[in-house]
Amino acid sequence: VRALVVRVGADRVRLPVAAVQEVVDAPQPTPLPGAPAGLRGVVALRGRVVPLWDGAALLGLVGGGGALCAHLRVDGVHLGLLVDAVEGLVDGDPASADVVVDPSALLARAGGAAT
Amino acid sequence: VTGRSYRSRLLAGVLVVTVPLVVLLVVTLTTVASRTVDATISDALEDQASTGAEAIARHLDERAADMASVAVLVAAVLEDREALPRILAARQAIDRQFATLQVSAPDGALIATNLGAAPVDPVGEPWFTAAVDGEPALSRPHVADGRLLLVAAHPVRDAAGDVVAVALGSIRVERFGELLRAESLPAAAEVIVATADARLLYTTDSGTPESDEQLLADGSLDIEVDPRNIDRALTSGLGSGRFVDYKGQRVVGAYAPVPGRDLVVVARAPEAQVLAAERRLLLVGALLGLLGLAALALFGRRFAARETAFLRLLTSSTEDAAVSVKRQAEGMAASSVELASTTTEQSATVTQTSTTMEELSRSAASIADTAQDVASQADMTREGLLRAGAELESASRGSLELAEQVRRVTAILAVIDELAERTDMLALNAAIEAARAGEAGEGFAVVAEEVRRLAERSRASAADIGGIIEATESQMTATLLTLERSATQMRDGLALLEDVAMAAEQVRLTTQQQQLATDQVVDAMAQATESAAQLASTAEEIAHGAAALARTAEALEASASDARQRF
Repeated sequence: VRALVVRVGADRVRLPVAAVQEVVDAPQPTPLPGAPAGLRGVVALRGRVVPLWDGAALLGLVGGGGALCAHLRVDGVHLGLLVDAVEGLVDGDPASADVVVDPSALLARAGGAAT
Repeated sequence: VTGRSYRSRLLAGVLVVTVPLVVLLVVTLTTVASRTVDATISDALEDQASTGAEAIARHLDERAADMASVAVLVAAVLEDREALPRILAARQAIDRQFATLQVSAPDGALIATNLGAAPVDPVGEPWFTAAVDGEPALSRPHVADGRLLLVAAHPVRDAAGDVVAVALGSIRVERFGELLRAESLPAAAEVIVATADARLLYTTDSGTPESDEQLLADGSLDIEVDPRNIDRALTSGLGSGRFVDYKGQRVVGAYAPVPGRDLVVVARAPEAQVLAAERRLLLVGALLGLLGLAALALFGRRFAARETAFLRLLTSSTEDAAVSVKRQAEGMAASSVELASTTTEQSATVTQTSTTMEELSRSAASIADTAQDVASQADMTREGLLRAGAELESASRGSLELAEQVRRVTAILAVIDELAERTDMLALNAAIEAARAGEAGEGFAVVAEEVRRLAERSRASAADIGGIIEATESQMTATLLTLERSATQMRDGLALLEDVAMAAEQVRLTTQQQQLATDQVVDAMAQATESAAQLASTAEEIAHGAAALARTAEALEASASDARQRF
């Protein structure tokens, strides 16, 4: 199965390519009052208002500044994820050290955090 | 000839010249003074006579005016015969100038007099007739009934202007004394008033008589005076002269007519008095002459003695001077010879010095030339340096421009890097899109990968260029530093050259001045040589002159010794 490999801190993170819309330079978010930890605010991506999450906080990793933003679409829900770098598209099984992200679980974590 | 006889002759000479002068002076002075005394007394007497005459004329005019006013008064009260005497008496008492005030009818009948006065009989008198005819008149002085009368008459007219009476006033002649007072005259002088027929009317010798009776007793209108004086006064006016007066005395006198009246005033002083003053003057003149002569004799004696003594002293000192001059002339001759030889030696020394100075002058000129060369070479070097400096500066400017270009290239490189990065990102997203498309997107994925690789290479090339530019920049900085250092060194070199040029100029100026000074010294030396030659010849002339002077002094000494024997 094809995946996009990004870096969050020292970790390689695999994102299923079906959930990835695009990768852009991290935009400046509009902060939300009373937002949960990890939610940086909202940004406009491809004409939509999308919540922007700190990837390290949402994945439970130690991350950097988050120079890039991965635009995900999971079950019709859009969200932005801050990552440090992009390694590229890969095929095949993941390496043992890679963090494999399940988009639905991620969405659930974000939803839980948001609620 | 002895000294004594010379003195006597000198004295005699002085006296012969001055004594006649003194005598002439004294005689002239005395004569002039005597005339002055005479003239002074005559002037004083004439003054007095004319002053007296004017006073009497004024007095008589005033009395005539008095009678005119009396006439007007009388005309007003003529009908009141009782009051007239009282009125006339009151008028008379005001000033008592008249002895009698009287009013008479035109036929001569008495109308009134002032109270107690003796009336005057006017009948047949010419002045009364004149008054009746309407003319104011004054009588001659005359004697009537033992009274001295001088009557002023004035017609009295009624309202129609007809003469209805005549007012008469008998003037008191005895009061003339008050008009003739003479403070300026000698004590013995006398002033008289005489009538036209040369009769004495009044004299100041009578003093101030109380009445006309006393005047008549003193001879008024009885004594005759010298008629010639009276005639002269009445015909030709004021004058003076010497004559014998009515007392038989020789007098100096002056006479003046009383204007408009037949009266003459004579002022006179005894001739003896004048003569005494003149005699006193003569005596003083003679005394002065004698004194002058004595003083002259004394002065002449002293003058002769002093002149002789002076001449003796003069000859003696001339002799001494001659001896002294001779001695000094001899000394001077010797000194001049010595001076001549000394100047010749000095002249040789001066010539030697001149030669040395000329050599010095030549060396100075050569130094000046060398300094001039150094200065011109320094100038040339400096011009070269300045040119190099300009080139250096232009090189420096070029390097700076180059650096600017490099900076712009760097900026462009940054843009290229950015573009490459964005292209990389676009390629990634394209690859993602292709992956999501599955089978359909595989061809597109290959293109996206190619694009991503191109972007990678662009970035690498840009990085390479960046490295090269960095190296170039550091090289350029080094070049600029080197240029700057060269410029500094050039400036230092220029400053040094300026110093050299200035020093060379200084050397040139100094040597020029030195040369000038040397030239002056050489000139001065030439002049000194010339002067020394002149001095030598002058010294020789002086020696000759001194010898001549010594001979002259010898002759003078002989003459002086001869003269000393004489005085």
